[in-house]
Amino acid sequence: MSDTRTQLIAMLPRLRRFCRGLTGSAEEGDELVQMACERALSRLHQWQEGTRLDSWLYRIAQSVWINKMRQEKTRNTVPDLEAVSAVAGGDSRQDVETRDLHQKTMAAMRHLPPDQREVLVLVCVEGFSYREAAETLGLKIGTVMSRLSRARLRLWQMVHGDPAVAAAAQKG
Amino acid sequence: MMTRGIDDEKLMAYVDGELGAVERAEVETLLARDSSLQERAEMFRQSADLARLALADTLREPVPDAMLAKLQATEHDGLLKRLFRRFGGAGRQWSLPLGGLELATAAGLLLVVGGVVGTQLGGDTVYSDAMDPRVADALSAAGSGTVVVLDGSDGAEDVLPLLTYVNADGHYCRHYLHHGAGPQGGQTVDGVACLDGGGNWQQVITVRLDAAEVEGDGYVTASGGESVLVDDFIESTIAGAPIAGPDEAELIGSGWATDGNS
Repeated sequence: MSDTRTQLIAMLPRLRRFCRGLTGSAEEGDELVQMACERALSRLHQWQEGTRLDSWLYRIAQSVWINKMRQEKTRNTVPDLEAVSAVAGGDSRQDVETRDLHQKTMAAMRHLPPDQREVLVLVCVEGFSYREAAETLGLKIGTVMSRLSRARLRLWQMVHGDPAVAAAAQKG
Repeated sequence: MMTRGIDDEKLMAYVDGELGAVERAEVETLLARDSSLQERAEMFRQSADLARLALADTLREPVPDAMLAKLQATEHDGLLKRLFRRFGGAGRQWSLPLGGLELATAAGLLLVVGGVVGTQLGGDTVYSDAMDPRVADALSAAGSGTVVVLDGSDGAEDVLPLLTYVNADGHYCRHYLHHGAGPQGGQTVDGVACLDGGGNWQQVITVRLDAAEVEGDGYVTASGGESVLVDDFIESTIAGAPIAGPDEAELIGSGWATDGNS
Protein backbone atom coordinates (compact mmCIF):
# COMPACT_ATOMS: atom_id res chain seq x y z
CA MET A 1 0.00 0.00 0.00
CA SER A 2 1.34 3.41 -0.88
CA ASP A 3 2.35 5.90 1.77
CA THR A 4 -0.36 8.25 0.67
CA ARG A 5 -2.99 5.57 1.08
CA THR A 6 -1.70 4.88 4.59
CA GLN A 7 -1.93 8.57 5.35
CA LEU A 8 -5.47 8.66 4.01
CA ILE A 9 -6.45 5.80 6.28
CA ALA A 10 -4.92 7.56 9.25
CA MET A 11 -7.01 10.58 8.35
CA LEU A 12 -10.33 8.73 8.16
CA PRO A 13 -11.53 9.58 11.67
CA ARG A 14 -10.97 13.28 11.02
CA LEU A 15 -12.50 13.08 7.58
CA ARG A 16 -15.57 11.46 9.13
CA ARG A 17 -15.82 14.24 11.67
CA PHE A 18 -15.49 16.86 8.95
CA CYS A 19 -18.14 15.19 6.79
CA ARG A 20 -20.49 14.74 9.71
CA GLY A 21 -20.19 18.41 10.50
CA LEU A 22 -20.72 19.31 6.87
CA THR A 23 -23.83 17.19 6.39
CA GLY A 24 -25.18 17.45 9.92
CA SER A 25 -25.81 13.73 10.16
CA ALA A 26 -23.83 10.57 10.85
CA GLU A 27 -25.34 8.62 7.97
CA GLU A 28 -24.99 11.27 5.32
CA GLY A 29 -21.55 12.10 6.66
CA ASP A 30 -20.31 8.54 6.22
CA GLU A 31 -21.86 8.39 2.80
CA LEU A 32 -19.92 11.51 1.90
CA VAL A 33 -16.71 9.99 3.29
CA GLN A 34 -17.11 7.04 0.93
CA MET A 35 -17.69 9.27 -2.05
CA ALA A 36 -14.82 11.58 -1.16
CA CYS A 37 -12.45 8.63 -0.69
CA GLU A 38 -13.47 7.23 -4.03
CA ARG A 39 -12.70 10.47 -5.74
CA ALA A 40 -9.48 10.99 -3.79
CA LEU A 41 -8.27 7.53 -4.81
CA SER A 42 -8.96 8.16 -8.44
CA ARG A 43 -7.04 11.43 -8.25
CA LEU A 44 -4.18 10.53 -5.99
CA HIS A 45 -1.78 11.50 -8.73
CA GLN A 46 -3.10 15.06 -8.55
CA TRP A 47 -2.09 15.56 -4.95
CA GLN A 48 1.16 17.44 -4.74
CA GLU A 49 3.71 16.07 -2.34
CA GLY A 50 4.60 18.65 0.27
CA THR A 51 1.12 20.19 0.42
CA ARG A 52 -1.40 19.38 3.10
CA LEU A 53 -3.14 16.12 2.42
CA ASP A 54 -5.99 16.95 4.81
CA SER A 55 -6.79 20.23 3.04
CA TRP A 56 -6.81 18.42 -0.27
CA LEU A 57 -9.10 15.74 1.11
CA TYR A 58 -11.48 18.23 2.70
CA ARG A 59 -11.61 20.20 -0.51
CA ILE A 60 -12.61 17.04 -2.36
CA ALA A 61 -15.24 16.19 0.25
CA GLN A 62 -16.64 19.70 0.09
CA SER A 63 -16.90 19.68 -3.68
CA VAL A 64 -18.46 16.19 -3.72
CA TRP A 65 -21.00 17.42 -1.22
CA ILE A 66 -21.91 20.51 -3.20
CA ASN A 67 -22.26 18.45 -6.38
CA LYS A 68 -24.32 15.87 -4.61
CA MET A 69 -26.77 18.46 -3.39
CA ARG A 70 -26.93 19.99 -6.81
CA GLN A 71 -27.55 16.76 -8.66
CA GLU A 72 -29.76 14.74 -6.40
CA LYS A 73 -33.15 16.23 -6.31
CA THR A 74 -35.10 13.51 -4.65
CA ARG A 75 -34.34 11.07 -1.97
CA ASN A 76 -36.19 7.81 -2.38
CA THR A 77 -33.96 5.51 -0.43
CA VAL A 78 -33.23 5.79 3.21
CA PRO A 79 -29.60 4.89 3.83
CA ASP A 80 -29.11 1.68 5.75
CA LEU A 81 -25.37 1.84 6.14
CA GLU A 82 -23.65 0.13 8.99
CA ALA A 83 -25.30 1.70 11.93
CA VAL A 84 -23.21 4.32 13.54
CA SER A 85 -23.84 3.86 17.19
CA ALA A 86 -25.34 6.83 18.86
CA VAL A 87 -23.29 8.67 21.36
CA ALA A 88 -23.49 6.20 24.19
CA GLY A 89 -23.04 7.80 27.53
CA GLY A 90 -23.54 6.58 31.05
CA ASP A 91 -26.69 7.31 32.92
CA SER A 92 -25.50 10.20 34.99
CA ARG A 93 -27.42 13.41 34.67
CA GLN A 94 -24.39 15.24 33.43
CA ASP A 95 -23.95 12.71 30.62
CA VAL A 96 -27.57 13.15 29.61
CA GLU A 97 -27.27 16.93 29.66
CA THR A 98 -24.07 16.83 27.64
CA ARG A 99 -25.60 14.49 25.10
CA ASP A 100 -28.66 16.70 24.81
CA LEU A 101 -26.47 19.73 24.24
CA HIS A 102 -24.47 17.91 21.57
CA GLN A 103 -27.63 16.78 19.82
CA LYS A 104 -29.03 20.26 19.96
CA THR A 105 -25.83 21.66 18.52
CA MET A 106 -25.84 19.13 15.68
CA ALA A 107 -29.48 19.98 14.98
CA ALA A 108 -28.63 23.67 14.92
CA MET A 109 -25.72 23.02 12.57
CA ARG A 110 -28.07 21.29 10.14
CA HIS A 111 -30.03 24.53 10.00
CA LEU A 112 -27.03 26.64 9.04
CA PRO A 113 -26.50 27.46 5.37
CA PRO A 114 -24.01 24.99 3.86
CA ASP A 115 -21.42 27.64 3.12
CA GLN A 116 -21.45 28.78 6.74
CA ARG A 117 -21.31 25.21 7.99
CA GLU A 118 -18.17 24.37 6.05
CA VAL A 119 -16.15 27.27 7.42
CA LEU A 120 -17.46 26.57 10.91
CA VAL A 121 -16.29 22.96 10.74
CA LEU A 122 -12.95 23.75 9.16
CA VAL A 123 -12.02 26.48 11.63
CA CYS A 124 -13.75 25.57 14.88
CA VAL A 125 -13.64 21.79 14.62
CA GLU A 126 -10.64 21.04 12.42
CA GLY A 127 -8.59 23.90 13.79
CA PHE A 128 -7.70 25.47 10.46
CA SER A 129 -6.53 29.06 10.50
CA TYR A 130 -8.62 31.55 8.56
CA ARG A 131 -5.98 31.55 5.83
CA GLU A 132 -5.89 27.77 5.61
CA ALA A 133 -9.67 27.60 5.47
CA ALA A 134 -9.70 30.26 2.75
CA GLU A 135 -7.14 28.34 0.69
CA THR A 136 -8.95 25.04 1.17
CA LEU A 137 -12.30 26.45 0.08
CA GLY A 138 -10.97 28.84 -2.54
CA LEU A 139 -12.37 31.88 -0.75
CA LYS A 140 -11.04 35.23 0.34
CA ILE A 141 -10.18 35.53 4.01
CA GLY A 142 -12.81 38.24 4.43
CA THR A 143 -15.47 35.86 3.12
CA VAL A 144 -14.33 33.15 5.52
CA MET A 145 -14.52 35.59 8.42
CA SER A 146 -17.94 36.97 7.60
CA ARG A 147 -19.43 33.50 7.07
CA LEU A 148 -17.76 32.21 10.20
CA SER A 149 -18.97 35.00 12.44
CA ARG A 150 -22.52 34.70 11.12
CA ALA A 151 -22.41 30.93 11.55
CA ARG A 152 -21.25 31.18 15.14
CA LEU A 153 -23.77 33.78 16.19
CA ARG A 154 -26.60 31.81 14.58
CA LEU A 155 -25.41 28.57 16.10
CA TRP A 156 -25.24 30.10 19.53
CA GLN A 157 -28.66 31.65 19.16
CA MET A 158 -30.28 28.45 17.92
CA VAL A 159 -28.81 26.44 20.78
CA HIS A 160 -29.32 28.91 23.61
CA GLY A 161 -32.23 30.83 22.22
CA ASP A 162 -33.02 34.46 22.39
CA PRO A 163 -32.18 35.48 25.97
CA ALA A 164 -35.42 37.47 26.18
CA VAL A 165 -37.50 34.43 25.21
CA ALA A 166 -35.68 32.17 27.63
CA ALA A 167 -36.13 34.63 30.51
CA ALA A 168 -39.83 35.13 29.83
CA ALA A 169 -40.44 31.38 29.48
CA GLN A 170 -38.83 30.79 32.86
CA LYS A 171 -40.94 33.41 34.50
CA GLY A 172 -44.13 32.07 32.99
CA MET B 1 -22.86 44.53 14.19
CA MET B 2 -20.42 47.10 15.45
CA THR B 3 -19.82 47.41 19.13
CA ARG B 4 -17.85 50.50 19.99
CA GLY B 5 -15.29 50.34 17.26
CA ILE B 6 -14.96 46.59 16.98
CA ASP B 7 -16.92 44.62 14.45
CA ASP B 8 -17.91 41.01 15.03
CA GLU B 9 -15.26 39.68 12.72
CA LYS B 10 -12.42 41.42 14.51
CA LEU B 11 -13.75 40.32 17.88
CA MET B 12 -14.01 36.75 16.61
CA ALA B 13 -10.51 36.93 15.19
CA TYR B 14 -9.30 38.03 18.61
CA VAL B 15 -11.03 35.07 20.26
CA ASP B 16 -9.51 32.74 17.68
CA GLY B 17 -6.00 34.10 18.16
CA GLU B 18 -5.88 35.41 14.61
CA LEU B 19 -4.90 39.01 15.37
CA GLY B 20 -1.41 40.49 15.40
CA ALA B 21 0.02 41.99 18.56
CA VAL B 22 -1.08 45.57 17.88
CA GLU B 23 -4.69 44.75 17.05
CA ARG B 24 -4.85 42.28 19.89
CA ALA B 25 -3.81 44.96 22.35
CA GLU B 26 -6.44 47.32 20.92
CA VAL B 27 -9.18 44.77 21.38
CA GLU B 28 -8.02 43.95 24.89
CA THR B 29 -8.15 47.59 25.87
CA LEU B 30 -11.73 47.87 24.66
CA LEU B 31 -12.72 44.55 26.19
CA ALA B 32 -11.44 45.56 29.58
CA ARG B 33 -13.98 48.35 29.91
CA ASP B 34 -16.98 46.97 28.05
CA SER B 35 -18.91 44.09 29.56
CA SER B 36 -21.28 43.75 26.62
CA LEU B 37 -18.27 43.28 24.38
CA GLN B 38 -16.97 40.65 26.78
CA GLU B 39 -20.27 38.82 26.54
CA ARG B 40 -20.16 38.90 22.78
CA ALA B 41 -16.60 37.56 22.80
CA GLU B 42 -17.78 34.79 25.11
CA MET B 43 -20.50 33.92 22.60
CA PHE B 44 -17.85 33.43 19.91
CA ARG B 45 -15.76 31.34 22.26
CA GLN B 46 -18.69 29.16 23.30
CA SER B 47 -19.97 28.67 19.77
CA ALA B 48 -16.63 27.18 18.72
CA ASP B 49 -16.66 24.90 21.77
CA LEU B 50 -20.20 23.80 20.97
CA ALA B 51 -19.29 22.78 17.42
CA ARG B 52 -16.09 21.05 18.48
CA LEU B 53 -17.63 19.12 21.36
CA ALA B 54 -20.69 18.09 19.37
CA LEU B 55 -18.41 16.32 16.92
CA ALA B 56 -15.75 15.17 19.37
CA ASP B 57 -17.13 11.65 19.74
CA THR B 58 -16.75 10.99 16.04
CA LEU B 59 -13.01 10.62 16.48
CA ARG B 60 -13.48 7.92 19.09
CA GLU B 61 -15.85 5.83 17.01
CA PRO B 62 -14.27 2.92 15.21
CA VAL B 63 -14.03 3.48 11.48
CA PRO B 64 -16.46 1.15 9.69
CA ASP B 65 -14.79 -1.78 7.93
CA ALA B 66 -16.39 -0.85 4.63
CA MET B 67 -14.66 2.49 4.76
CA LEU B 68 -11.28 0.99 5.55
CA ALA B 69 -11.70 -1.66 2.88
CA LYS B 70 -12.23 1.05 0.37
CA LEU B 71 -8.89 2.62 1.04
CA GLN B 72 -7.03 -0.61 1.56
CA ALA B 73 -8.20 -2.10 -1.69
CA THR B 74 -5.65 -1.95 -4.44
CA GLU B 75 -8.35 -1.97 -7.07
CA HIS B 76 -11.38 0.23 -7.14
CA ASP B 77 -14.27 -1.69 -5.73
CA GLY B 78 -17.16 -1.31 -8.10
CA LEU B 79 -19.64 -2.87 -5.71
CA LEU B 80 -19.10 -0.35 -2.99
CA LYS B 81 -19.20 2.36 -5.54
CA ARG B 82 -22.63 1.26 -6.73
CA LEU B 83 -23.79 0.72 -3.18
CA PHE B 84 -23.05 4.23 -2.12
CA ARG B 85 -24.30 5.74 -5.33
CA ARG B 86 -27.75 4.45 -4.58
CA PHE B 87 -28.18 6.62 -1.59
CA GLY B 88 -29.36 10.06 -2.40
CA GLY B 89 -29.07 13.00 -0.10
CA ALA B 90 -31.34 15.94 -0.33
CA GLY B 91 -29.80 19.27 0.35
CA ARG B 92 -31.48 21.49 2.81
CA GLN B 93 -30.91 25.03 3.63
CA TRP B 94 -32.90 27.95 4.75
CA SER B 95 -32.11 31.21 6.24
CA LEU B 96 -33.33 32.20 9.63
CA PRO B 97 -35.59 35.17 10.06
CA LEU B 98 -32.99 36.93 12.12
CA GLY B 99 -33.27 40.08 10.13
CA GLY B 100 -36.93 39.72 9.33
CA LEU B 101 -38.65 37.49 6.86
CA GLU B 102 -35.89 36.04 4.77
CA LEU B 103 -37.13 32.58 4.22
CA ALA B 104 -35.35 30.82 1.44
CA THR B 105 -36.91 27.40 1.26
CA ALA B 106 -36.30 24.42 -0.94
CA ALA B 107 -38.75 22.87 -3.34
CA GLY B 108 -41.99 21.54 -1.94
CA LEU B 109 -43.34 18.19 -2.95
CA LEU B 110 -46.60 17.85 -1.12
CA LEU B 111 -49.04 20.38 0.11
CA VAL B 112 -51.59 19.81 2.80
CA VAL B 113 -54.07 22.57 3.38
CA GLY B 114 -56.61 22.86 6.16
CA GLY B 115 -55.74 19.50 7.62
CA VAL B 116 -56.82 17.64 4.51
CA VAL B 117 -54.50 16.18 1.92
CA GLY B 118 -54.57 18.74 -0.80
CA THR B 119 -52.52 19.27 -3.89
CA GLN B 120 -49.79 16.87 -4.79
CA LEU B 121 -46.97 18.68 -6.45
CA GLY B 122 -44.88 15.87 -7.82
CA GLY B 123 -43.97 13.88 -4.72
CA ASP B 124 -44.55 10.18 -4.47
CA THR B 125 -45.28 9.73 -0.81
CA VAL B 126 -48.12 11.04 1.21
CA TYR B 127 -47.02 12.70 4.38
CA SER B 128 -49.36 12.41 7.32
CA ASP B 129 -51.17 15.59 8.17
CA ALA B 130 -51.62 14.70 11.82
CA MET B 131 -49.95 17.08 14.22
CA ASP B 132 -47.07 15.40 15.97
CA PRO B 133 -47.52 16.20 19.68
CA ARG B 134 -43.77 16.69 20.07
CA VAL B 135 -43.85 19.29 17.33
CA ALA B 136 -46.79 20.95 19.05
CA ASP B 137 -44.85 21.06 22.31
CA ALA B 138 -41.88 22.61 20.56
CA LEU B 139 -44.10 25.26 18.99
CA SER B 140 -45.56 26.10 22.40
CA ALA B 141 -42.21 26.40 24.12
CA ALA B 142 -39.50 27.69 21.82
CA GLY B 143 -38.82 31.15 20.54
CA SER B 144 -38.34 31.75 16.83
CA GLY B 145 -34.84 30.82 15.77
CA THR B 146 -34.28 28.37 18.64
CA VAL B 147 -33.84 24.77 17.61
CA VAL B 148 -35.60 22.03 19.61
CA VAL B 149 -34.44 18.43 19.42
CA LEU B 150 -37.48 16.15 19.62
CA ASP B 151 -37.74 13.64 22.45
CA GLY B 152 -36.87 10.08 21.60
CA SER B 153 -35.29 10.94 18.27
CA ASP B 154 -31.73 10.65 19.57
CA GLY B 155 -30.93 13.93 17.91
CA ALA B 156 -32.18 12.95 14.46
CA GLU B 157 -35.32 15.04 14.56
CA ASP B 158 -35.71 18.69 15.37
CA VAL B 159 -38.06 21.61 15.03
CA LEU B 160 -36.99 25.15 14.29
CA PRO B 161 -39.77 27.73 14.77
CA LEU B 162 -39.25 30.59 12.34
CA LEU B 163 -42.04 33.07 12.85
CA THR B 164 -45.03 33.87 15.03
CA TYR B 165 -48.04 35.80 13.82
CA VAL B 166 -51.79 36.25 14.22
CA ASN B 167 -54.03 35.15 11.36
CA ALA B 168 -57.19 36.86 10.09
CA ASP B 169 -59.32 34.77 12.48
CA GLY B 170 -57.36 36.06 15.43
CA HIS B 171 -55.49 32.82 16.11
CA TYR B 172 -51.79 32.56 16.79
CA CYS B 173 -49.84 30.80 14.07
CA ARG B 174 -46.26 29.66 13.78
CA HIS B 175 -44.14 28.98 10.75
CA TYR B 176 -41.63 26.20 11.40
CA LEU B 177 -39.28 23.66 9.89
CA HIS B 178 -39.41 20.06 11.04
CA HIS B 179 -36.23 18.22 10.16
CA GLY B 180 -36.02 14.42 10.21
CA ALA B 181 -39.78 14.09 9.71
CA GLY B 182 -41.79 11.49 7.83
CA PRO B 183 -42.34 7.77 8.37
CA GLN B 184 -38.74 6.96 7.55
CA GLY B 185 -37.22 10.16 8.87
CA GLY B 186 -34.87 12.20 6.78
CA GLN B 187 -37.50 14.52 5.41
CA THR B 188 -37.85 18.19 6.08
CA VAL B 189 -41.26 19.71 6.42
CA ASP B 190 -41.94 23.41 6.01
CA GLY B 191 -45.20 24.16 7.76
CA VAL B 192 -47.55 26.52 9.50
CA ALA B 193 -49.62 25.52 12.52
CA CYS B 194 -52.24 27.62 14.27
CA LEU B 195 -53.78 27.38 17.71
CA ASP B 196 -57.45 26.38 17.60
CA GLY B 197 -60.11 27.51 20.07
CA GLY B 198 -59.17 24.69 22.41
CA GLY B 199 -55.55 25.75 22.63
CA ASN B 200 -54.24 22.95 20.40
CA TRP B 201 -51.86 23.42 17.50
CA GLN B 202 -53.38 22.43 14.18
CA GLN B 203 -51.41 22.13 10.98
CA VAL B 204 -52.81 24.39 8.34
CA ILE B 205 -50.21 23.91 5.66
CA THR B 206 -47.24 21.59 5.30
CA VAL B 207 -44.85 21.36 2.40
CA ARG B 208 -42.35 18.57 2.26
CA LEU B 209 -38.91 19.69 1.21
CA ASP B 210 -37.11 16.87 -0.49
CA ALA B 211 -35.68 18.54 -3.49
CA ALA B 212 -33.22 21.31 -3.61
CA GLU B 213 -30.62 22.86 -5.78
CA VAL B 214 -27.43 24.56 -4.90
CA GLU B 215 -26.69 27.81 -6.55
CA GLY B 216 -23.26 29.12 -7.32
CA ASP B 217 -22.70 30.59 -3.91
CA GLY B 218 -23.56 27.36 -2.17
CA TYR B 219 -27.00 28.38 -1.04
CA VAL B 220 -29.79 25.95 -1.61
CA THR B 221 -32.85 27.55 -3.04
CA ALA B 222 -35.99 26.40 -4.67
CA SER B 223 -35.61 24.39 -7.83
CA GLY B 224 -39.06 25.46 -8.91
CA GLY B 225 -41.68 27.95 -7.91
CA GLU B 226 -43.06 25.76 -5.13
CA SER B 227 -40.98 27.19 -2.36
CA VAL B 228 -43.11 30.28 -2.22
CA LEU B 229 -46.15 28.23 -1.24
CA VAL B 230 -45.71 28.61 2.48
CA ASP B 231 -44.53 32.19 2.20
CA ASP B 232 -47.54 33.02 0.04
CA PHE B 233 -49.79 31.27 2.48
CA ILE B 234 -48.44 33.32 5.37
CA GLU B 235 -48.68 36.51 3.42
CA SER B 236 -52.32 35.81 2.57
CA THR B 237 -53.34 34.89 6.13
CA ILE B 238 -51.24 37.16 8.34
CA ALA B 239 -53.01 40.00 10.11
CA GLY B 240 -50.65 42.77 11.11
CA ALA B 241 -46.95 42.43 11.76
CA PRO B 242 -45.19 39.27 12.95
CA ILE B 243 -44.80 38.88 16.71
CA ALA B 244 -41.14 38.91 17.58
CA GLY B 245 -38.59 39.49 20.30
CA PRO B 246 -39.95 40.40 23.75
CA ASP B 247 -43.59 40.21 22.53
CA GLU B 248 -43.10 36.64 21.42
CA ALA B 249 -41.22 35.86 24.62
CA GLU B 250 -44.10 37.18 26.69
CA LEU B 251 -46.58 35.12 24.68
CA ILE B 252 -44.56 31.95 25.24
CA GLY B 253 -44.11 32.80 28.89
CA SER B 254 -47.87 33.18 29.32
CA GLY B 255 -48.50 29.79 27.74
CA TRP B 256 -50.26 31.46 24.78
CA ALA B 257 -53.00 32.38 27.20
CA THR B 258 -54.19 35.49 25.45
CA ASP B 259 -56.27 35.44 22.33
CA GLY B 260 -54.67 36.79 19.19
CA ASN B 261 -57.40 39.41 18.92
CA SER B 262 -56.87 40.95 22.29
